[in-house]
Amino acid sequence: MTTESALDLAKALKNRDKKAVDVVAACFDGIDRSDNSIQAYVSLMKEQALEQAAQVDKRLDNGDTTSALAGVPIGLKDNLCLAGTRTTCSSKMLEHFVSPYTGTAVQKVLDADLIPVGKLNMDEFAMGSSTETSYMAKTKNPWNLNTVPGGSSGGSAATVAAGQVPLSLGSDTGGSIRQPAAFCGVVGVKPTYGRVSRYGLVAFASSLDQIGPFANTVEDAAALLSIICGHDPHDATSLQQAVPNFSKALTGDVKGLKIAVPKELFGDEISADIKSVTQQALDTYKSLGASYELVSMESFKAALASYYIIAPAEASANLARFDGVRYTHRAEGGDTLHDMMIKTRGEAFGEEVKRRIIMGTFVLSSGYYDAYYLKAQKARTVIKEDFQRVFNDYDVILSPTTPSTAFEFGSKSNPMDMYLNDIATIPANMAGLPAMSIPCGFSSDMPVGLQLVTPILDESTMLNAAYAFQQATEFHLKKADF
Amino acid sequence: MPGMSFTNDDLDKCIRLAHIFIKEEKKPQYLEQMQAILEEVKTLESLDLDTVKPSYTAIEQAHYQRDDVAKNANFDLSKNAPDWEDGGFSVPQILKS
Repeated sequence: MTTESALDLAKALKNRDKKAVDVVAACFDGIDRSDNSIQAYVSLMKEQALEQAAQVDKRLDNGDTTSALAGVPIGLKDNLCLAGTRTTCSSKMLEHFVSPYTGTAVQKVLDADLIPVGKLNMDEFAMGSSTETSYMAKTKNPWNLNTVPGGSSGGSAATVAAGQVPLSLGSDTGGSIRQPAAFCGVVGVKPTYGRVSRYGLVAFASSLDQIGPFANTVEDAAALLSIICGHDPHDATSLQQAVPNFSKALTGDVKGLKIAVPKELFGDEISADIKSVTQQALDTYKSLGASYELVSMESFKAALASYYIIAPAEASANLARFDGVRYTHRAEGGDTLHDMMIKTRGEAFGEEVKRRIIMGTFVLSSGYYDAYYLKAQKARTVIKEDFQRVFNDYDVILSPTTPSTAFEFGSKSNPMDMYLNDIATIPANMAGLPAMSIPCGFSSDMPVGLQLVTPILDESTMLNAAYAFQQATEFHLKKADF
Repeated sequence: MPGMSFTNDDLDKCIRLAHIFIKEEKKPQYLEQMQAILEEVKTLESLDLDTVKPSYTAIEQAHYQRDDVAKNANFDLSKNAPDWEDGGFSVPQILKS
């Protein structure tokens, strides 16, 4: 297992104390040893990674790379396209789909000489909060193999928590980076919507999806975030904004920082032990010179409802393309085109995906659009305005990332119980805000996540607040022993 | 809110519109779950939305325009096609014979 930070590893590589080929080979040895237990990976790309590592070693020998993370292995969620590799979205529908091109975020990772080692398991088409809806594998939480790693980016969180790789990429539509990061005791960042290009990310809910990093430390996450952000003409929603070097924002100084704590995320929905750990985190911030107050954000009460209208509506449209004509899977025995499409979609989509397609189809259907979809979009405006109101007086909004620690497999068979896991994470997606989860303590030996949210494009304040907490505590140093 | 009582007819209509297939024995479970989700959706009623403008995107910005230059991506679509014939996707007959 590697417990070394990505930046420390990159430094050793740059100083030529280590070679990228050796680091990558050791990384695959570690995956071979541990992935029977964890099952984080859907596919590995050993040959390709070792070839790339040899090229990176040459560039490092010649001083031809300026990347802060050159030679560092990285895992990719299996909804991110890398040309020539399988991108399954953990679905039977795309089990044999090979990416014809490389997405922008992944290309930036390659250009920065990071080395992708494999594609990571996820909830099918990113629909889920436990990675249990995956068709491909059953990813375990390295802290307790009887519990889920969270989702939908469960593989991305588990591989970092298990020490298989120091970095990974995931995607976050309603909490799919932050919730698994919290469950697995690692750092997970969802940047401002549009900071990272979605070109080459298989779409779930296009107005909410955003790619972001997983890491063991805030410094590592900031370094990777600086690499993957930036405007991309291939994505119409990509922000036309300069990207700061987020690493430079990490001063650790939070004196005078004003923190808001929404009452709605500190109530009965949150377990007592999580609230207790979160209160200790607030006390830590106070000792560092920050201040906090409870605020009311009543729109949060409707965030879950509006999310579960908007996200399925967009998903039902995005997943219409998987019809048995173009994307690898086709059912046998359909006599007509129509029969074939129904059979294909019926047999290759899992239950959660079908449920969301039905929901999305319903709220967009004639007679219901105004009552559901339009109303949810209006609720989104109210949520955005609620955030704006609070950010007029505060720098950061802090809350638990999740209502509980990681739960056992099969314990949330009712979809609504599963959806309620996302009550703290969804509001930031609805408003497009940057948000992240950092380890802030333990409950019954399971990690607890702390969520920080800042205004649009202000990842720097968020990352620095996270860094200050990390510097004052040692939760990020404790590793899963599985 | 209309449609709060999501019915068997609603379920069958959505299944038909979405071109999916669900086994008959599974339909009661889907129906119950959809009704539970729509019950949660009622919390939207707690907001006064009559005069609120909808937000279709999280962040508004001017549309980016690039030069209108065709680029050949050289994607080989045949590799992922379930059935490929004469340079195109091959599908079953559209009309019943």
